[in-house]
Amino acid sequence: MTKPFRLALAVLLALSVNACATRTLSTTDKLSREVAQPKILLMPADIELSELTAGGLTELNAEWTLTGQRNLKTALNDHLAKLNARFSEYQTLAQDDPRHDTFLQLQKLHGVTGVNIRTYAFPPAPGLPGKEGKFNWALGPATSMLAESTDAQYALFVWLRDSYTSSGRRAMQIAASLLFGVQLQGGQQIGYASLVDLKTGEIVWFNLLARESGDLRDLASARESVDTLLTGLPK
Amino acid sequence: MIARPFLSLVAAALLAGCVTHETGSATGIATVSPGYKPDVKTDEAGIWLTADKAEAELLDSANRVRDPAINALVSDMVCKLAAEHCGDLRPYVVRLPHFNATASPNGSISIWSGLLIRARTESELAAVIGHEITHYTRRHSLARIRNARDNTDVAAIFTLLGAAAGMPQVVQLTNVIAVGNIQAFSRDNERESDAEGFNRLVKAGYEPAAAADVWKRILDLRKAKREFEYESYEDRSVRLFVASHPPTEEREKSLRELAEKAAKPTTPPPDRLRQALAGVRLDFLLDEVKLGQFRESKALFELLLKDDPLPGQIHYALGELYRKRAKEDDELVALSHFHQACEAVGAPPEAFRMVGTMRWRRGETEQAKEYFRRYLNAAPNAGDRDLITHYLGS
Repeated sequence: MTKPFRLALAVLLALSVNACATRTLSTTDKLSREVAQPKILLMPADIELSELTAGGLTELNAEWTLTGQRNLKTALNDHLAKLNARFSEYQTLAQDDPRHDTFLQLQKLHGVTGVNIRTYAFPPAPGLPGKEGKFNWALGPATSMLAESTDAQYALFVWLRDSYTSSGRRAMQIAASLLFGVQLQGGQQIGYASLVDLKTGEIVWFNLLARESGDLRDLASARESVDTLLTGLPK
Repeated sequence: MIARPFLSLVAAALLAGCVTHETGSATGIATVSPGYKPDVKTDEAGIWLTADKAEAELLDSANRVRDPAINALVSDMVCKLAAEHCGDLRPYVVRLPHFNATASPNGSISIWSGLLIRARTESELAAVIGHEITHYTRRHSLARIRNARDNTDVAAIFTLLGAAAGMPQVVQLTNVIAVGNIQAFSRDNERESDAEGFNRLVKAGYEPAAAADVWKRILDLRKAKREFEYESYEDRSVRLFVASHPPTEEREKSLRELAEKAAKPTTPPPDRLRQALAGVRLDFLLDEVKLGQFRESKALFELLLKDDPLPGQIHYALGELYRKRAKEDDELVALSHFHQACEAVGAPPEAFRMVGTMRWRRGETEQAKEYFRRYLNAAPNAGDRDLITHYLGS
């Protein structure tokens, strides 16, 4: 790519980065410190890193995704250590374990709940009538089983879709902007993280991330992404 | 601008290859060797990862059928048909009431319950599974993803050029051509799978005519639904242009020609399908009823009744079909089917209860009680035993 093109691209990207990359809803800004270092359990994180083709298709990249998953865990571990909390990872149980189904259903329930919070709880969505403007979502008492089984106080759910502009797509973007002054969609980082108090089953903090920057493919950038994703996490 | 909704629709249609969807090494991509795994740096690895994720979900899904007999049968069939690829394929029976099966790029194969009740013999089922195995061995998913990428890339460039030249027709035409190309490619994959799937069928010792027979059945059932009568000629040409699969008539005809040339099996082919379905078929039939496609379901059940070893189940399903439609005389027709079910082999206990309930509502208490008694005889541990006993005492 030639220099003027790169410059044009940099300008485009700078203009397009959303001023407000994350938005948070929470019921508290403090972690319960009954245990001095509360243990936060990362549930199986749903992360996909993809490439955006020139024609606008999003193609999952296996190598990036596997690296991104590793980087996320390392960065998360370090981030929580700074908050004086312990990181641990949920270990999937065997199919015949009597707890397997309950824990699976909890994850599915959180998946549905997360989609609903994302869709209805953040403005400009008017909010669900029954919620009367309050942020009060819970997974129910079954979470205490997870607490007993893992000795954790909180569970952290992460859903992330990270896409990167392919060189073909970048050429399309530049051409579109030169020809029409129009900005074609490029790579994006969107996702959410959610913290569940396992004692009560309540979702105590929920953070929505949507921006056109961020990278999980190298550890340094992954740390920045995790810091952004966990903006406002109770301490 | 790029027509995004259009593209995302195309993207959504891409991943799984299905029977009512993917046929020739026309793709230019080599056939997989046994034990094959893609390099993590390739686009194929991304497709596999997506498929792995879907498979993990399927494993835990309530829609996955856990019945050992039917799972044992399909596993055995996949091994026979796939030969050296046996160890790379993992078949699942899925409770989805439509005629379909899908093969994923990572080797997981989903066999839908709607297919299992429509196939009349093990050979017919084998024809569909052989077709699906070919999608896997020929790596059709990968071919389709690459083809879609190429076509959408070209479409994007022409869209831009067309827009720059101020010619919106070019923009539209470009996208239409992309979709047409992608779907034509998919139809070619389907033809390849039909042809190689047929070879697998014959090689495994199954009935060669079964491949054409299964498509004939689907056509007959669709005609019963009078689907084509309502479709205008224009609708149909558009549909053929965007269809991911070749027309069913064409598939039946080509497979029939292949069968006529093929050698008949030297020993009678195995036919274990009905027996393997014994534990789950009633559920599958009742799922069919819930589709709300009265004509096609009725045609299917009547076809099955001709030689089914468990007519009690079919009459019960027919009764349910009429009862749920609930038009004019449907209740009487339903009651008559429930009565026939009660006197036939394979009657589900629920048939007795249904007659009991219907008669009770009509004020025919004594007859109702007789059927409630028969219900408790047939299902002594029924969950609603107390309720039924209460009816009997009043």
